Amino acid sequence: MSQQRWQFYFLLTPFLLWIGLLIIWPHFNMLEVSLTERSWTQGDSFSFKHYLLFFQQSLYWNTYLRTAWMAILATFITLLISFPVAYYIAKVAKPRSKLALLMCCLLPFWLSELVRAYGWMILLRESGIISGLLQAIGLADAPIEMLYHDATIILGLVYSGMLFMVVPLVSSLDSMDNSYIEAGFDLGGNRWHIFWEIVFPYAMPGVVSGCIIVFMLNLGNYLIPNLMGGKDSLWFTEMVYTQFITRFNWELGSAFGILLLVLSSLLVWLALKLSGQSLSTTVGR
Amino acid sequence: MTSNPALRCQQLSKHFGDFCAVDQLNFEVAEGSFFSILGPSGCGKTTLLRMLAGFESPSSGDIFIQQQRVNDLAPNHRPLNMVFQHLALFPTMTVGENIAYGLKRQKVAKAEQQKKIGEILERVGLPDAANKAVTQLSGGQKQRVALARCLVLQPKVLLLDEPLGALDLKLREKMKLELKQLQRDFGTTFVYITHDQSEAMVMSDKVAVMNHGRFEQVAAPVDLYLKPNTPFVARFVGNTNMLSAEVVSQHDDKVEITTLSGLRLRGHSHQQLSVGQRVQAYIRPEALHPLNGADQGSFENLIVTRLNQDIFDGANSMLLAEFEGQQLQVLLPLQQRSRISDNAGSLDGSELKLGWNAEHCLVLDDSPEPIADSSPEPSSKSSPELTTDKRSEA
Repeated sequence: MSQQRWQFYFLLTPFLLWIGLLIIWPHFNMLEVSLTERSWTQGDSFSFKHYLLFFQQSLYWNTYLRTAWMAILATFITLLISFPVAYYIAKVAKPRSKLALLMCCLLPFWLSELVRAYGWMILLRESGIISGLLQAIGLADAPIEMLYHDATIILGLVYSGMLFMVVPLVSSLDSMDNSYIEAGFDLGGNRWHIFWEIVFPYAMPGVVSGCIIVFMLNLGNYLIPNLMGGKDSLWFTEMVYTQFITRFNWELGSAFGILLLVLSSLLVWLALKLSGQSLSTTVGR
Repeated sequence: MTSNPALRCQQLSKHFGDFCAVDQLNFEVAEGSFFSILGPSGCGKTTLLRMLAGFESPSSGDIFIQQQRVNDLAPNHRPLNMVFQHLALFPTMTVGENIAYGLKRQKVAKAEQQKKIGEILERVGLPDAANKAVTQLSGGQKQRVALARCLVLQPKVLLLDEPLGALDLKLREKMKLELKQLQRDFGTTFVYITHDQSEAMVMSDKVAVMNHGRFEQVAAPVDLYLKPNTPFVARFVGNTNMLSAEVVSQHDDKVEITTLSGLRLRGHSHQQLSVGQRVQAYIRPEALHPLNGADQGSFENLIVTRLNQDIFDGANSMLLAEFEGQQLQVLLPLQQRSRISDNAGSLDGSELKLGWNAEHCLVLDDSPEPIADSSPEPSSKSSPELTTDKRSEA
């Protein structure tokens, strides 16, 4: 009995160390830093200054909202593209090709995100392949710059997030009995009814869990907006980076970090409420 | 048959590559009747049902629902509905929403929908279930909701794909009677497929016994049991004993046969048999009467067997006896039990005299064709009306 208890705590220790040292403590630390005002003359004091600064400077909260909106948009587009793919893999493809198709979705992830982003840059930049091709066939007179737009960021985010949408969707669609679809037809429904009343509600846990994962990845992405968005397309993570690394303003950077955490928690909570799901039915499966 | 059948199939066939699942079937189902298709697994009954529902298209032949040819109609446009094997109640909807799904497709107004849902749930005996989740229901309740979901649409034909298969034994017995009652109340034409002969016998007006894609016999349950046309039907429907024999003579339907050891027996047959032909005599377990001592009874056939085993199972108690190396099952009603057992304390190995009449001894030619899968689920239990059942053949 006591040995079992000892084993339990022994196995629990890595988890406690991880969540304590790498999650909880840094966040409380960040919260503390964000609420501190440093002064050479008077020493450190408690202050909401950095949070107020965020609301006073329109660049900050504009970027904040823009990042949230674009992350949501990219998540939605990822869902639109992934659903047919997942449906095909789970319901249409033969068992043998299922695995191969899932592997195809996984394949890009054998490369680092950096290389994947450069791949898109080779295609899309002014001197890139697509631009050259358009000129060669006479559809364009001059080189076209396709990088450094908001649309390119969305493209990059959708590309890097698709796998995390497809996998939960496949797993929830896979468990659906084909007889539900047949019953839907048998009772007089057409494809539209069957999709919206039977298949989509059934896949809802997969949809929500995929959306949560992809949304969080999008919101916290630094590389893709930085490389593919260029100077005009600011992303909130870039501002956090700037404050910490370029400006050495850890207090403001921490405040931004906390605000980003609040944003993602709030939106995930809202998504769960709106879809009538809970964390245990979606991510917890 | 009837002048206006609810369902009619003409030369209906389905091939999968070289395999012929359904082989040129011709049949009619009378309006308002309970029609069962009974067969072992792999006999093509599911394929047939899926063709009727529209999920498979026939290789050749036609399907008519009330004189309308439906071959080219998609499943959602056919005037029939189906109760699926695992019911396929939509798990994301409540009971009421499940029933409303089909009504919405028929463009029934909202208020009318609610009224119809209330009525149909009342009729299947679940008046307060409309707002329940499907997962809250028991097996039998799910069954009724699945039926309600179809019946509310007033289909011309209701197809049922072994819907009782997933239920436990007790509930299945109950649902059998309930299903029959519901069919009578609604007057809907039911086409029911099953591999359980007891289900088919208890509920049906007509049963089609299917094997290798063909109907071996289409008849009322009583006729199927008493006058099987083919060896397959004789063995598949109900429990039966078989004795190998040769034909000695035949006059009309009266046949005289001789067993392996040369014992003469009398039986009857609708087949034209030739002298010396190898045949099987089929005798139901309840037709064999155990006789005591010198008692000869008034039976036309008498044999002496060796008693192997005494299996007590209440009203279904059996004696297993051996005759010429063949195992015979003898139904032993409780009142006869005392007569037999005070003869010998331990029954095993003792002699047992059995008698039966020629009218209960069906003689059919010895079909060389093996039966696809003739042992249905061993768990099926006999019903009150029909005292015998297919058990695992010894």
